Amino acid sequence: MNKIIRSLRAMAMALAAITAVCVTTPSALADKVTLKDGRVFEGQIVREEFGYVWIKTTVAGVPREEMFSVDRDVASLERDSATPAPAAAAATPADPEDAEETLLPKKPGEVRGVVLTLGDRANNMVGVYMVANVLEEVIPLLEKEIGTDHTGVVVMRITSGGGYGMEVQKISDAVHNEFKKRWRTVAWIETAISAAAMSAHCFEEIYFTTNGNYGACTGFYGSLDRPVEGLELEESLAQMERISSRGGYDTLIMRAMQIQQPLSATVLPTGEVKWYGDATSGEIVVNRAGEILTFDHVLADKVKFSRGTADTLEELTTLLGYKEINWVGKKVPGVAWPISRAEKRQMDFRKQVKSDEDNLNSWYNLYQTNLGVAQGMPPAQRGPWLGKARSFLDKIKNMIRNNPAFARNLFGGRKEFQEWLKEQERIIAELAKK
Amino acid sequence: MTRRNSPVLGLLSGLLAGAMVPLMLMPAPAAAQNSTAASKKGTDVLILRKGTVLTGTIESETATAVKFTSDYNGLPFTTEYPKTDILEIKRGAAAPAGGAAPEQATPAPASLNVKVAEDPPVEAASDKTRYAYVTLTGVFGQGISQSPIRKAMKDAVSQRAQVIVFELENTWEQRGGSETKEEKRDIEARFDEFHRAEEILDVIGKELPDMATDAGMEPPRVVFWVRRAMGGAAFFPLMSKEVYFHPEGRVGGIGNLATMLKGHERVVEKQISLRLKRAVGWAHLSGYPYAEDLVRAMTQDWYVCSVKFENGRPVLFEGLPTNPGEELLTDDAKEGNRDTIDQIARHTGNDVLILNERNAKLIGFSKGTVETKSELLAALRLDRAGVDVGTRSERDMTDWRTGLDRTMARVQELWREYAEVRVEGDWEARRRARSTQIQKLEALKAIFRQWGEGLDPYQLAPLGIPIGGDGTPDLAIIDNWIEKIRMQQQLDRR
Repeated sequence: MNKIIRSLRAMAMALAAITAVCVTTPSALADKVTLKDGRVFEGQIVREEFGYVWIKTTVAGVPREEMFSVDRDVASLERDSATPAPAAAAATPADPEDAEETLLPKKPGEVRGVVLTLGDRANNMVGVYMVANVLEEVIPLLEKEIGTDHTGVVVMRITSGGGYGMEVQKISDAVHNEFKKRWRTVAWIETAISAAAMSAHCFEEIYFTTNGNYGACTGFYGSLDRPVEGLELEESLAQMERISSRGGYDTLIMRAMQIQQPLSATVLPTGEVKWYGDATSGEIVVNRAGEILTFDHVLADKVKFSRGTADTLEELTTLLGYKEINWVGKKVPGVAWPISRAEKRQMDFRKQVKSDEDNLNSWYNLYQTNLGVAQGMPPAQRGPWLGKARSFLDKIKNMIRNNPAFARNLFGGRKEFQEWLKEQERIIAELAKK
Repeated sequence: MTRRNSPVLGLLSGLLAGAMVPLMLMPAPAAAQNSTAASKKGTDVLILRKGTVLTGTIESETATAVKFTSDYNGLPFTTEYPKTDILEIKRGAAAPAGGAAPEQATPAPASLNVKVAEDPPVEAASDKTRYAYVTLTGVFGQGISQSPIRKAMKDAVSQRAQVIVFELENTWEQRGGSETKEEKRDIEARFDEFHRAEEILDVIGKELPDMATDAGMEPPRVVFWVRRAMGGAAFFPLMSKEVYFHPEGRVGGIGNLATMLKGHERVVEKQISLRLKRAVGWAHLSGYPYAEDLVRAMTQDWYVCSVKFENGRPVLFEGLPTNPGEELLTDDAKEGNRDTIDQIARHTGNDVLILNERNAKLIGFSKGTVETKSELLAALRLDRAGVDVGTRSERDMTDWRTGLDRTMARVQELWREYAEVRVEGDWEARRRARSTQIQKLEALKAIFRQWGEGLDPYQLAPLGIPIGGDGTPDLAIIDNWIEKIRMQQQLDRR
């Protein structure tokens, strides 16, 4: 029932948006807070507790939340009869951001698109923050948001300085086998270094930002004096040859990013680009002898590795060949594209991983400390300490549940993590028994 | 392929090593006791915006924050809450009207989060260009840092500034005592500050246009007037479309990219490549047509760069000059070409490019040389046709710098007080001592949350304050300490 009401409200708001230049939440089907100073706020009352009321309004299409003291500020408070009263203080307040957004049916010829961020400036390590499973997870959401008729556009905005090579194949498979089959899927590169560039190399369409960069894919084991060599290096080169063919790129390009392969190119009059495995045969020096290749937008444009450079969604829309794309999602101040539900999941995932990563050391130490205290206690007094130890163990479990890549990165694999977990639970159970 | 020496795996090995450390807690294996006498519960109530309700005692109150003592499991804790986080304060009978007397001895540094009444929009005739003049001075990464710049930009946008003029003069000194400070030499370089510079470049190059768009206005023009931009600060003018120089202005101090990393050649080349192209990427925002040549010349001493002129326009190219009309900017720094001590002392070396007013103008990077602010405004045609709406933005930067100075002193004081706490005596004395330890650590955390990005890690680390990988205080470790103190108290027997 509530879902239907929300759908009606969304529809009413959409209609109002068409007819009004300066849109505020329409008075029909809305809550209203009238202040003693005469101001009136219309929208949805989302919370009411401690003598305060929070109302979500929309000003010029931008949602904002206002809060007032009922005693001090509010003259009257009118609820839309269809709107249930907000939950009491003890109940979990409804998060308006979680409200189901109902999209209107597609109009003929309408193209819908979303921007999914793979990494952001602060949290971007491949295999930790940029993982295949959270991309795969949002496919059903995307099917709802931009449809299943193959007209949808998915832009993957990549901002990552690299990470675990182990994740490359998984991300590449997810993009190539799942996304590209359903939607026009393109990469929009701000920073794609190392494993991030390798993950992006299966996109046929790569666009850059003006400050974008892409490459530097040399593998190494954490320390600068430990490159990937021998059989592992050959396997990595072979893997990237296969991935290069997915994106339609000459294998020399990725090779120059991995192993100091000199590279030059000539753009033929036909528009085709001919690549040379040295720095002299082609008219354009792409990678000097001895260097590792990283593209900037100028070089990537010159040798047609990039399809174009865009800094705004409008510029990207034009480069994609459309006059208009309905970019699905909510406009949020400070973000250059609307946040779809699929994108919100990417953002929430990274936020959770960041929190987990920050706290992991602490949780592990406190788990060990509480377990140690319990071991030193007489059996009858261990309960509270074991309870605390278990709570920290649960946090570690939840962390792995949110991001299974942690199990691989920290324990060597899910199986190894499960074994470790089983052993810890056995220790706790033993201590609880005695 | 398993990369076992990754940072995350390093974390695990740290964890496992931690597990081997014997438990350093009180020896008495007694049941945990909740202290009923742990603290006298106050009658003041704080209602936080996020919904938390705290009952306790207001210890002190300033214009911007409330120091509040409550308890957790019988252990009192004191935390300073910014007033912006507080919805309402309900004062108990014990509290004097108006709250506790504002703390005098150690006033809280001005908070950047505190919402004060916004300056009213500066009124100006519609034909005047609205500009904000913002001065960036101090040590790069300390006095010049992303949070105050972000706030200054927000304030400039709220004043609908059409132009933002940065006057830039960063401190470029040897590390050392106040008596031994002297300017760094040209051969000393800090390309490694690029990572930190990117955090600030993001604010100016990305966030500012987004803020403007959200406010329904065109992104402001950004102008840099350079007195000194050395080390990480050099990347700011490199990304700007309009740069003016002071007659003694210099941009550089980033010439160690080719030499700062050691390791296997292929891996080092990867690291150089990604850093170089990230820096070049930012320089592309300036629209300067030879961004890569310019950045290579400024960052790598082997790169030979010259300038020629085509139809009167400067063109940078790799290689030596081939005719008298061309000019060498940087040589290959090999053998006889290595800068001499004479050249280094007189700033005339050419192993790496350090931009000055002459060569910057020669290569078309500088729009002009001006000696004073009024000359700059005249050059920008803002002297008569412009109105400065950036008073608030400028104050944001000043507040940050003065706040940082006070904060470092407060950190040292709190840390000393924390270290001086002795947990001894009877149970009540031990409880009080631990409570004091927690209070000091919580106070430090509150400071670090607000000021951490600007505090000098080289001053903090010798004190014993844990520093994280990003160079700021590691709050998770401090949280761990607090938790352990709480556990010690729970294990302590009367």
